Amino acid sequence: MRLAFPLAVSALLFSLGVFGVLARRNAVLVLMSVELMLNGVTINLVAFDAWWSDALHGGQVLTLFVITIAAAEVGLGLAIVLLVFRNRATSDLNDLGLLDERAEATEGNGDVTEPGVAR
Amino acid sequence: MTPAVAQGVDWLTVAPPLVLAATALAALLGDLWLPARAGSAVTAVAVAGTLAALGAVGLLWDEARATFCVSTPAGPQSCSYVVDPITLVFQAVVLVGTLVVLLLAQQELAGTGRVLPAGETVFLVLCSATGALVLAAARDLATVVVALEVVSLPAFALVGLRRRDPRGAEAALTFFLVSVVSVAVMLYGVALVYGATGSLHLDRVAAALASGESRTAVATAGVVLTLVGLAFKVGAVPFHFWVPDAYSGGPVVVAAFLSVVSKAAGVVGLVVVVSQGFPAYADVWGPAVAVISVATMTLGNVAALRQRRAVRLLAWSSVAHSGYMLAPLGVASSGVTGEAFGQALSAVVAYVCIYAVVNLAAFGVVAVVTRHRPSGLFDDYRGLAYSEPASAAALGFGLLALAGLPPGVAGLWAKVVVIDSAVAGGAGWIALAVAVNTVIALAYYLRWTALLFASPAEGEAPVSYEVPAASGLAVGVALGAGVVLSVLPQLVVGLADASAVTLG
Repeated sequence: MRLAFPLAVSALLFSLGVFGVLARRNAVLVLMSVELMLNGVTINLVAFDAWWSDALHGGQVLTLFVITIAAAEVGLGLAIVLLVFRNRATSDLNDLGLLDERAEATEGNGDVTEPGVAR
Repeated sequence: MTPAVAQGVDWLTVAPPLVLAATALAALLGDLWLPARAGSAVTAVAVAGTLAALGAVGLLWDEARATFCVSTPAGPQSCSYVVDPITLVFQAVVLVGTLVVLLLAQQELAGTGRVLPAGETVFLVLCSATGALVLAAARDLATVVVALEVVSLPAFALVGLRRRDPRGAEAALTFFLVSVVSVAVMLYGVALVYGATGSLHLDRVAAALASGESRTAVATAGVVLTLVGLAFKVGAVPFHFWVPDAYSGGPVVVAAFLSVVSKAAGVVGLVVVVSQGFPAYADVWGPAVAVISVATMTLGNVAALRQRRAVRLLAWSSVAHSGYMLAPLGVASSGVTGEAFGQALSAVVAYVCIYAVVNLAAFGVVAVVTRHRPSGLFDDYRGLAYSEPASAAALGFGLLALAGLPPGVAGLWAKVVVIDSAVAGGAGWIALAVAVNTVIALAYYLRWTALLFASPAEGEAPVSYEVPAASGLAVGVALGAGVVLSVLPQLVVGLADASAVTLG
């Protein structure tokens, strides 16, 4: 098979992921878009591994690591999204403003236990 | 048919990360079995483990070793894990930083002000430090990526670890999302580099890139995208947005950890990848790093000028210091001699070492003060020199060293080394930018230092902080290291001069 086909699929997946990261405002959807980007990477790696007939199979080995990393990231990411959701009852990135520098400067009180108010 | 690849593992070479990883597991499991509120025991185990790892680094000193090597019929032996002087210095910095953070966190883990779960915190700190140790020795792209993730993933959890704290959760989410996106971009770059060169080992990548025929748009794109992930880790512009949020949202000790261990890991990753893997593309990444470095230091300093909170100021100042750290690498281009590049690498190493210890001294005192005055405003530090002279001395030393003024001579050495390497590399404009930024930074460091000696506000009784022994020891270690480096800068300056790298 020509190398160009898997590379095109991979680039398409990666671009879709980038678009999702930029366009989506829901943290879970952003996470899913990151997964798409990582899947683009794995397709690339496997295709290059086959193309080079790499004796060490570096591409396949790194693919396994990328899959593991992606799993770890999603596990941790969902835990953090859940944590934010419990505190704020939202997972919309536009509603996050507790750490806004301008808000902090006018508020003048950095009491960390004070529950936040969505803008 | 692929020949079976049998690997002998040199256990002593991998001892520092191995000891730290084992200690992390022991701390996590020990916390389960020990009775509740045994935070001190867990910290003691962690400190012992960190000291043991430091001892292992000492055993490896003055000796170049490598392990996890493969040899194929096609080429010479390539190793995935190499210990050289730069590796050892970075590992020592990471371990000392971890030690100080563990001691500093003692008050948060045990005792009356218990706000963090002991076993989990210690486990995450040690895991992240393990990743940093591996990253310093990594010599293939797979190891670099995995080590970078091992540094990052526990750090997200650390930022969001404080319970019922919406700010921490939000900071963790920002940090996490920016990080995973930049790691994905970096992985795409790694895949392209692999596609262009056919290998993940940095020495083979360097050889393939230097051979000329593979100098393609694919390789160039791969090199640039690979640097994105590392620039994020360092907190360089335009990937710096997470830094102030993560530092001020999480606990102060975690901010100290991020600013030293995590940043040192990012810098060493960048140094390893560009010097071992991409020297042939120095004319691609050299100017890019130069521009990023100058933008980072300028933006960091200008933003720091208008901060009213201690941790946020330290966060922006740490962004600015990332710029200074990257400045020497900016001299790299096709015209630079291997000698000048070696000097640039030495300057990066020296700057990171000195920045780490003086920054820890400043962060240590801020952590102690923040416990008693959670608002974290500058007014909390008014008159600290009269109520807590020792803490004020440590903070003053740290701030002046970050600014590069006596008595913090260590900071001055660091600045001189960076400027010298930029001039030697023929990049006078970078040296000028560093000098101008140092002057801008004086404004906020001196304002804060002067506040330490201002008379206390009317009608406010001076608060005695009763600095706990562990915190005092932590600040003392950082301060002592800072004083030693002020007197004997040759301990960290000029380490990589010998390792000449030929640029294509």
